[in-house]
Amino acid sequence: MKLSLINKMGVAFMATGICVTLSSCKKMLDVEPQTSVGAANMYRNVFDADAAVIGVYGKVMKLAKPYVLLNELRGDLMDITSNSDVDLRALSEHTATVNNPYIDPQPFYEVIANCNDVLYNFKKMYAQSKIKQDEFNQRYSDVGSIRSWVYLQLGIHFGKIPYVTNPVVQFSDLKDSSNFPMVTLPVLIDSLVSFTEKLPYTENYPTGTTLLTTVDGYSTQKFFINKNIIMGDLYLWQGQYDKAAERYKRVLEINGPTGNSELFYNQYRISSFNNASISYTRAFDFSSLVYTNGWRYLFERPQVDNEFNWEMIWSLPFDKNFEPVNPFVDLFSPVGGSYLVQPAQQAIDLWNSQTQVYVFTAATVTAGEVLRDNFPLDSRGVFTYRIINGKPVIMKYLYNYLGTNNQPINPFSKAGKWFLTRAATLHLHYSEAANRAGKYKLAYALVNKGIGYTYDPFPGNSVSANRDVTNYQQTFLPYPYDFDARGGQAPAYRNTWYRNIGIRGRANLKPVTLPLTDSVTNVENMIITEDALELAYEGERWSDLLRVAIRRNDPAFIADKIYDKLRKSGLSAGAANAARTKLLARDWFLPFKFK
Amino acid sequence: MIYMYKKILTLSLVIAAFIFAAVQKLYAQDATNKFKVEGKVINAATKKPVRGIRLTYKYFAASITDSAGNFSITLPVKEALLLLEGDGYQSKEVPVNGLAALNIVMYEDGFPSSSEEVVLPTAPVTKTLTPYAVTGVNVTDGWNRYGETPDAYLQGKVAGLHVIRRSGTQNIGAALFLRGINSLYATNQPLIVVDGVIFSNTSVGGSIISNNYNNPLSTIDVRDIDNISVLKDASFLYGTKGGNGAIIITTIRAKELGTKIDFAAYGGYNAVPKNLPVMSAADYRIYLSEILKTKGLSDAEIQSQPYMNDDPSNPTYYAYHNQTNWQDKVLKKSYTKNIYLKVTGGDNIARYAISLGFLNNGGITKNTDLSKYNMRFNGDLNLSRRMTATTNLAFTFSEQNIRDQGNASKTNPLFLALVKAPFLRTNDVSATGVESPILADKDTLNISNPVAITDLGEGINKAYRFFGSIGFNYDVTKKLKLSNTIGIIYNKVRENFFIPRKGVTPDTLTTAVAFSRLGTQVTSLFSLYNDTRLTYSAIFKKAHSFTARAGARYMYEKTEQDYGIGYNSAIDELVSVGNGVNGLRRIGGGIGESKWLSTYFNADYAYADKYFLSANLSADASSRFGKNGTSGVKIGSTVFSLLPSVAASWLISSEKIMAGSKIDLLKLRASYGISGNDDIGNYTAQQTYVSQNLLGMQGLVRAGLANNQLQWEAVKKLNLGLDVAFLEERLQLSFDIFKNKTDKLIVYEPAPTASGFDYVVSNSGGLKTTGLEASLSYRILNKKNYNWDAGFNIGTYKSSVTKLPSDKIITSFGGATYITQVGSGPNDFYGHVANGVYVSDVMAAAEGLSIRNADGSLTAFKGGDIRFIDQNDDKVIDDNDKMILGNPNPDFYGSFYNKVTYKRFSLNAVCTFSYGNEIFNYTRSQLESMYNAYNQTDAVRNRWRTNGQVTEIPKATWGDPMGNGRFSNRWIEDGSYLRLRAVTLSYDVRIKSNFFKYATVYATGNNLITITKYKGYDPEFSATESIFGQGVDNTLEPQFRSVQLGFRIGL
Repeated sequence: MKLSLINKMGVAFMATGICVTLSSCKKMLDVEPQTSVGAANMYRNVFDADAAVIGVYGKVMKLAKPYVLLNELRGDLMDITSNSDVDLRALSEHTATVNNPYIDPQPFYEVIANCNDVLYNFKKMYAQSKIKQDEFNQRYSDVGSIRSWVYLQLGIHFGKIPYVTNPVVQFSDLKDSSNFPMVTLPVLIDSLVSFTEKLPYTENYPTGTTLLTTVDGYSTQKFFINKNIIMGDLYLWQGQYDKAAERYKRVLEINGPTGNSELFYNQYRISSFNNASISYTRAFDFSSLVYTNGWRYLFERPQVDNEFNWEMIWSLPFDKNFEPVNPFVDLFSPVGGSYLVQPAQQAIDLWNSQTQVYVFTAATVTAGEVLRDNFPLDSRGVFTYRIINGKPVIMKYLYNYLGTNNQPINPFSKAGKWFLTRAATLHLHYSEAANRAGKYKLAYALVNKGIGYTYDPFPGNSVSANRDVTNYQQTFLPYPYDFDARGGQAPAYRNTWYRNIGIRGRANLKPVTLPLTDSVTNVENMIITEDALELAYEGERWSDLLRVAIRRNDPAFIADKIYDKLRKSGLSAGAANAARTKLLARDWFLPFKFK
Repeated sequence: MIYMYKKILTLSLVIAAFIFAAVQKLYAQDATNKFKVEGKVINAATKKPVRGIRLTYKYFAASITDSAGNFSITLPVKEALLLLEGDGYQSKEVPVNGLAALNIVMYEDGFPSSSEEVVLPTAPVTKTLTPYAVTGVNVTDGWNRYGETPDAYLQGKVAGLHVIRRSGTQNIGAALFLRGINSLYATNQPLIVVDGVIFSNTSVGGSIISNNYNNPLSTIDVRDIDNISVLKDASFLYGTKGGNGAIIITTIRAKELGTKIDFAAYGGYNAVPKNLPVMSAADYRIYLSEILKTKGLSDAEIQSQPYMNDDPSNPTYYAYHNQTNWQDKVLKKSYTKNIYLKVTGGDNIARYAISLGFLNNGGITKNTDLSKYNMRFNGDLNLSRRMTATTNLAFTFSEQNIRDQGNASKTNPLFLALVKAPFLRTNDVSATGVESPILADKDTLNISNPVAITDLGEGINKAYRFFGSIGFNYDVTKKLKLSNTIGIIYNKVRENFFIPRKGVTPDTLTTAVAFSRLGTQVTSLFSLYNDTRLTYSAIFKKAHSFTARAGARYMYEKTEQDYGIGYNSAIDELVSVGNGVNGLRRIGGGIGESKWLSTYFNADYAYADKYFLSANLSADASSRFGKNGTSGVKIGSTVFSLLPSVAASWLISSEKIMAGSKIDLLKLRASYGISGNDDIGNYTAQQTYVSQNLLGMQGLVRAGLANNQLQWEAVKKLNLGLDVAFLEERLQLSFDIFKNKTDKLIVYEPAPTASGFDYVVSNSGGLKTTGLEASLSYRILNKKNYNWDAGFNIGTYKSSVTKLPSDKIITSFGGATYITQVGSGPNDFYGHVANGVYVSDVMAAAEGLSIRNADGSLTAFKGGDIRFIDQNDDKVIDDNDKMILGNPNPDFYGSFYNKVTYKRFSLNAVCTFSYGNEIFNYTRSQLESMYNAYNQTDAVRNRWRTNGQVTEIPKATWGDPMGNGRFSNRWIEDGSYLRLRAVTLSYDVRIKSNFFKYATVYATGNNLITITKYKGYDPEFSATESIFGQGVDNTLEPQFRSVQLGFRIGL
């Protein structure tokens, strides 16, 4: 009897087995990855969307090294050292071949692939109402802008690149070259303009957005690309100068055309109150150059203070506790790093060709004091590089790593920041657009001593001087060229731009003397030179040179500068002629590694 | 693929037509229904008649021999195979061939018979009756090989199965290559099936102890095994898991009802391997002063080093003036003990087989050992007339003390013992030369104290495995049977290690210096398996046997790994990972899940026990396959592989013309089909997102390029075989040639840059392996009191890559570089060729070769540098001068054995060999590169020192700027060896008691003699599962000699 029970159980057991085996295949065969997220669970709500945005920026961090190397070492301000390998040398001498590891476009496309995936899925999320209109607009536009920025970088370095805007889904898609259409730089810029200008949202993430937070002591506010600036840059490349100026102007007046607060007067206005100028504590004494506070300290400042916030527009920090490791220590530092690149003699000469003037730290400038000292250099150079053990070392990125004794503050803490855009970049780019739009004087003003000073028939008077400036100190131009810098006591003015002191004014350099009626070219040359002095090694140089060379259809503009760098270089002098010939032939671009 | 099916279909049709024609012809002749056969059965050795031999022909006829060995049986057909079975005798299939009188010779049990039973995926079958290349392994000698894991035990047992023991570490098992290489990146290990259940044989996540391997097969005691069948081509029915063949293990069952108890106890001794010849203190001191000079130290600086001071009154004199043989300090002889009990018995309703075992086996590295407990309970139940059930339950627990091995230059005690300065000593010593009990710290040359690792360090591996299965068979009708097997495996491995602060060179982490290192890991595996099938079998017209099976297998597997690595516990007494500094702790792990569904169909047909045809079809779906795969068939949204195969054999010895022939067995076999390999990664085909940080924020990004068209690797297998037996089966030969062609080989295909990813895993490679194998066994003497058996097997294979998406693949492992390119082997060593040493600067300058430095400048070779061959004649030695230097695959491999029995004594010796495999001797490369303060071998005493000196050893230079020690043929050695693998002498004690049934005493020696030219400890090792890593000797615990004594009694 017992057996028949077992018998029945056995049959039941087997029947169960068969049922299980033959039941729905689908459920039986699906597995969800446990330590990664399956596609089905990836884009479900706004928090997933935030994770996608953070992921994209995490990947962007890996571009820091190629971004700086490609834009600077190919330019005229950065040189190799005796530690550099043959591939780095080739990059500097414009002889890089396709397998050169420093010119691998793969990390750029890694960001693009993620952007494409995110953009595609954000649209899908929005269509399926998994995300609200505002949330979609903000995030979609952010990631779209990043993609445009990466593509612009690829375009200016490689000239002709595959322009991919859809995610790769199938393995067989990889074999289909129509998924990777090749475009040339002008076509690319047109495509990027038409894509980017349609992005639904152009401003920063508004307060209250989940992405705006403080993480590990860093505010995320400056982590994200400025959408107006990348748009302005694209217009600048395309030659739509008014549109470019308009986009830049939106950022210049990010706190509105009217207002009244420290933030209002200081943020992005190259303000005299910004604690970002070059100054000395004693007259005639170069050794009294102020080290902390001022221009140099911009690059060391903690991420959270006011001055940082007023100057920096887009900056990403490297922290010892998190990947990726700061690549700049290895690149630049002779202590704890490999010292692979150094300032070019050409750049050093450029700084040394400027004339510094004296000013008190208190910024109480009087006309009499201004022209006394005439140090034969630009102290921004002194702060951009430093001689360590007899070798010039690019310092901009090392101030969080090397102490004043040139030794690591903590050898295991390779902290630092990647400066992508700051107020000076914005002012210089705006000036370039304004100049090309025919507003030479405005461009001149912003680059030199500021709006108030330049648009004043009696410049140099103190704000508190009792004079009527009602009809001075303003451009009287229509938007986006309208600047009101009136600062006076009788009647009292403290207008929007009254603290603006200009790029060179902030660096306490003599203004460039140019006949204001001169052609667009001279002002443009002045701007490009100022780009070098102010923004050296921040990854702007190649882009600036190439843009102007293309705009003017003048390959010599770029070729001569590179020639000068190589000629003066102790290591690459022999390569100068070949590089010049190559660049004169408009052979500006790197070979693209397809696989 | 379509072409494949057509080929198979055509082949099947041809075979079927042939058989049909033969059948027609023979059947016409076979008019009568009854056929009487008479005969006699005699013992082969004694020539005496044997009584009680059971003769059967299927279910038609049965008989038994009488006391004179005579039998008479009436068969329904003239052509048939008679099955003979008897206690103490081999089973045997004898063809009747239309003869009315048969004289049959029977051998004792254990005789390597061509009609032994083998287990196929479908059912157990007599080997004579299968068209496949299958080798059965009789595990009778398992009793004297107790320390071995089943994989290592199989070494030399099967032609075509190349077994490479991973190292000399206990329990670590062996890498198995059945007929060479079928895959580059997926597994090459055959499928393991235990009692009908697929045995998850993966080491989950690897070990946190360097070069340790958690060997799942170590959980099966060799003595718990009844039979091992190695399927070289018969694994087709396992579909996408059968590509590398299969090994089917059947564990003990009660064969008879009476209670039988076997008990065995053993003790043994493990010997220390022979030391490698490293320099003495005096030679080393000279070498050290030379190498330091090339580092840039002045003579005065060198003389000021403490080890150069020869004044005994100096307080550090005794610390630096010793003659320490470090190898003796870390390698230790050890002892083993083992007891094992097996009980079988039962009644006609339930039978059981129970085993219990305990083993403690010392390792040859100081303070290492293994303790293992295992238990098994197997039951067979007759539940009703129609229903039977089987249960198998096994539990194993082991605890092992081990240390780092392989490429762990700061923590591998064996490596450290080789390179450590011989003038130092293990312990601190006072200024007067009195040794303290405190171990010495790392030395001034920055080399760890190996004894600190063995004595203060820890490495503990605790492993559990539960394996249980239950099976039901239900006879629906006489011809129709339903069966179902469910199996569960749960495996857990817990590992801890501790590397002390004292005595060990610190590591540098990105944010701190690591002094002590601590780690813990838990891995687990759960697998659920179900096999349900319907079997129909019938015999038509008494001569046509037909069996068809349709079934489905389902397997679910989940693995999990969790580890934590910590650093810098406050003191060396705090050894668990929680004591590490909080900020430095790293945790990680992974979870893997897979599901597999295989539906299969099989049909076996035999006519007149002469013609055999077998056809299989499997259709597999798996969670691993891409949803958009292009081959196979798609049902709904699921892609099924469709893998057909066919096999046929012709038992010529059953033909009438062979009646009375001297040839006892002559059989031709052929099989062709497609099998698969599903080891393609659990989630490779799925688009997934992984964590990407932005500082401390966690975002998600694409985890590389998923390939949703990813599929199984398809292995097309062709096999032709011949089996022959002569001289009343005393001489048996088996011969096979095969060709395996892997299509859709998984490779890392470079992806277009614009896709944003480096590579995509795709099925775009191809590989083929051809080879042959032969085995022979011969009973040379066959007498009453003594007999002598000898046997030999040999296998060879050659693999070559037929298709790759890129022109070559370069892989590195442990300092070796491999190249994979179309037309060459899959894992050829690829490096520079050294052609002696430049005798002088003049000679070097005359050749004018240089190396290119990183900055592009050239540095010329000088006297005393290695003279590398400049392959492309550009005067620069660089990657373009690399050449193929050989490969780790043997030209041939195999074994031979001799077994002599004299009265109650029996001597059994097995030799294994491997010929023509190259080894990269990484260990020697470190001991002869002369680039740092490592102690070196005696050979470097002959190093180049002055212009004009002719020598094979280059000069010593700190840091080796010219790359004299680069991966080159200097370190490639011939790994051929011939080894007396196991030799056993046993004696059956005469027992008069009724209590004891028998008693046997054993003495076994393992690895006693090894003949090789290899300069390292031992030429047999396998540091990794991957084919890219075979043949690299990265200082693993070597094989060692051991001797064991034991006895076994039966109650």
